[in-house]
Amino acid sequence: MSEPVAIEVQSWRAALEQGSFEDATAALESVVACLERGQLRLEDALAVYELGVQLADRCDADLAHAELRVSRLSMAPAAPDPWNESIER
Amino acid sequence: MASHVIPIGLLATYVRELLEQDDSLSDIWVEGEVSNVFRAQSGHVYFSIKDADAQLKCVLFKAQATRQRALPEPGQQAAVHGAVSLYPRDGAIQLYADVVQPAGIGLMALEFEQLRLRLEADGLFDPSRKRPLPERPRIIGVVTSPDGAVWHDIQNVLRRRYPFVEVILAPTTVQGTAAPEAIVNALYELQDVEHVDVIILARGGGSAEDLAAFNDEDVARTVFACSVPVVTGIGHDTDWTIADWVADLRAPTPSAAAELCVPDITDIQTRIRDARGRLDAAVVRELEDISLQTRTLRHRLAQRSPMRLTTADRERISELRRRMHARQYNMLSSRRAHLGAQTGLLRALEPGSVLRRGYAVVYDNMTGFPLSSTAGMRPGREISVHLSLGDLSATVTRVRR
Repeated sequence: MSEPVAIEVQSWRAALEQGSFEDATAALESVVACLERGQLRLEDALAVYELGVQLADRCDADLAHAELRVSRLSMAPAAPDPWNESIER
Repeated sequence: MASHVIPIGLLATYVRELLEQDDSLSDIWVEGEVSNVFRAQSGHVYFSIKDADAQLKCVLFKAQATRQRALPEPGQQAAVHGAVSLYPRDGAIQLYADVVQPAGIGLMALEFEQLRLRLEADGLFDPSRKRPLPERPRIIGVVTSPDGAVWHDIQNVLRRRYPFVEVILAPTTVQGTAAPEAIVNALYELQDVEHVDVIILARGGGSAEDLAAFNDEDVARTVFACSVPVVTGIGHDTDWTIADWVADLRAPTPSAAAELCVPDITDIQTRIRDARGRLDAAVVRELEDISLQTRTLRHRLAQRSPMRLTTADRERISELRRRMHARQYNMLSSRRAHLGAQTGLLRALEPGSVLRRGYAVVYDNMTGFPLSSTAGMRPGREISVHLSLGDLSATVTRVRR
């Protein structure tokens, strides 16, 4: 694999395996752009393509399973209020 | 009686200083009818304001005049805010105005306008200071009441549009005298949370008094100084608060604020689908390119292959071989012809065939040699005549030379 492609593939793989959904979609866009630029070696083109498909699968899976995470800061009440002490995080 | 005389200029300066030292005169509202409006070339606006009892000269310098929503008009009832001082040249007490408002809109509105102008002068509404929102936020902070429908609506919008975010509520009261401080605290608390990408400052609809906390100067300055972009969604579409002016982005409602903070999941799904299609098309094209290259190379390789050289050689060899065979054949056939001729000749020379044509060979019986002349021959010599079929014995009777 040629060196510049290898470096990019490394970052895409990191996005695929450890990145957030945003990282994965950004990596997917970048993979598509790379493949569309062309001029790749055969093995590189196939590796990049496979990674792109994996990224798209990952994004779709994330889309299917996404759930809003909600939390709440415990604020010191502006005025002392003994009836409302336990505002959970 | 004072025995000494003082210059008028000195007196004017003294009176002016007296006036300017008085705090109650440096921040004052007056209300009355506008008259004698004069717009100078310089951009300053001079006018008077009067009621039943008195009249006051006012000046609105160019810098302040340009910030007014509307300039004073003759006959208009107006409220004017400013500082009182003396203009020595005319010996006139003047109001150096910074806000001119149509009268009768209430003190709160006047204060609002005054604050708005001051904050605008301080650059808090400067469009160049407004930051773009992150395209894909990960953590969204929300400053609003934990109890109202607003918090519920914001969660619903985010869940529907973009459920990838984490939402952190900094609960606050949004109404009443404690609200400004509570809102400021909530904004600070959220800025202390790591990786908050954007903050929504929201409140449901209400009367102008209900929204007062969002017209508070401390709230405005906290929003301005906030380390992450702030989106406001306060009241209804028609409500504009100071916080809306300062915010990086103002949404007409809390739900709209939530919508503006996140992309739409269906857009993302579309983009992923597009990406798949482009990916397939690109790899097919790439493979075609590579295959074309391979074919081209194969063709070029074939043109230069040792096989091809051998073929040429082989052709040359077979040509040589053909020519050699042809030559050999020619040679053989000419030999054969020659041989045939020789054989014919030989055959012609063979004695038997001569004899068969009627010739005879004559032998000298004494020597046994064939005779080719009469030399040595005498009558009476015994000779033999050899014919094609059979022999004759004879005796020489006469010799002629």
